[in-house]
Amino acid sequence: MYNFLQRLSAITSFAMSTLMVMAILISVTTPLIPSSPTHSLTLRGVQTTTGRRVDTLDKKSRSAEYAQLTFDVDADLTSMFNWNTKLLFAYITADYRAPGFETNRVVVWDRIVRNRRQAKLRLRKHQNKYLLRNYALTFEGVEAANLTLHINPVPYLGLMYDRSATSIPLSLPRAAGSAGQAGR
Amino acid sequence: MWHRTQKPPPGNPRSLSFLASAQLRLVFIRFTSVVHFAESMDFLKPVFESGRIDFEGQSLASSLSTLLIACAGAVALAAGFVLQRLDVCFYAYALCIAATYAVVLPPWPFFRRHPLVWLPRKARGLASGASSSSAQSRRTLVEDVSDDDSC
Repeated sequence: MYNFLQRLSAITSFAMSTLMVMAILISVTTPLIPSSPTHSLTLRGVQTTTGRRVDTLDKKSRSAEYAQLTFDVDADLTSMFNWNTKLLFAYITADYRAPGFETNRVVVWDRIVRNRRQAKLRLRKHQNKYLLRNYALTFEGVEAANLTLHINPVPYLGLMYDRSATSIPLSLPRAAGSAGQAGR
Repeated sequence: MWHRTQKPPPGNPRSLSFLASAQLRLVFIRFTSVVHFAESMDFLKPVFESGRIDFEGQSLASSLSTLLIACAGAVALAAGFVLQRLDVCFYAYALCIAATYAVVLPPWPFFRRHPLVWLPRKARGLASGASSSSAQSRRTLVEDVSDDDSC
């Protein structure tokens, strides 16, 4: 610390170390900040069809069963925005149990909420954004199905964590006349 | 290329290939030598090697800077959390660090309150051999210290 350059070097390195400690403190204390969001999810209807031409290069996809969901979402996520929130990732999954596989989870809808203005969700009669299809290409033997809304806060500093919001039961019926038809 | 065990072919020191190799060696040294680079930056010496303070001042500068930076961190975190804005936290921290630089980096007078007391020079005209060699060595020692400060 006997000349200008020495003091500059020592002070700058200690300042950077303190900055690192500050960043660690911020990232560790963020999950402890209380938040009180409200959410509700209602299912209007499920319709399973077969024979959709979703991929012309995949011959088996023509005979697979696809479920179309119609749902409503009411959520107020404003309180989840603190100083360390970059965005909220809201997504809806269908979880079920199928023969041969214990846990199945399909994401059917998602949305990125970037600020408090977009945090009040009021969706009516929304369809699933992504196709809901079982791995076995049919919903035979599928049971204990739930539709769950999740909220993921993505922070500026720290790890992401998942908050599962609400879950409602879901029924995935077989498509009408799928047993007897030739896949055309 | 000739092998090490053989005698090298007779080279004319004035030939083109000899000159080219010497030039290449110089260029190589200029571009890879750390000492050459460091010496070429000597024009920065008055800027960076200045600002000397005495030992008591150095310990004061060290403890002062530690205290100021820790307080800067605490104040910046509190300000950011109260206003609930992360950019306020880091801007406040940068401002406090700039203030710390202003307090500790320049050689203020309060860092020079305890200057070093050097022993006086020995009087000349003593026993010739010993005094002249010791005077020479003292002269080289004193020359190393830069001549901008009195500490």
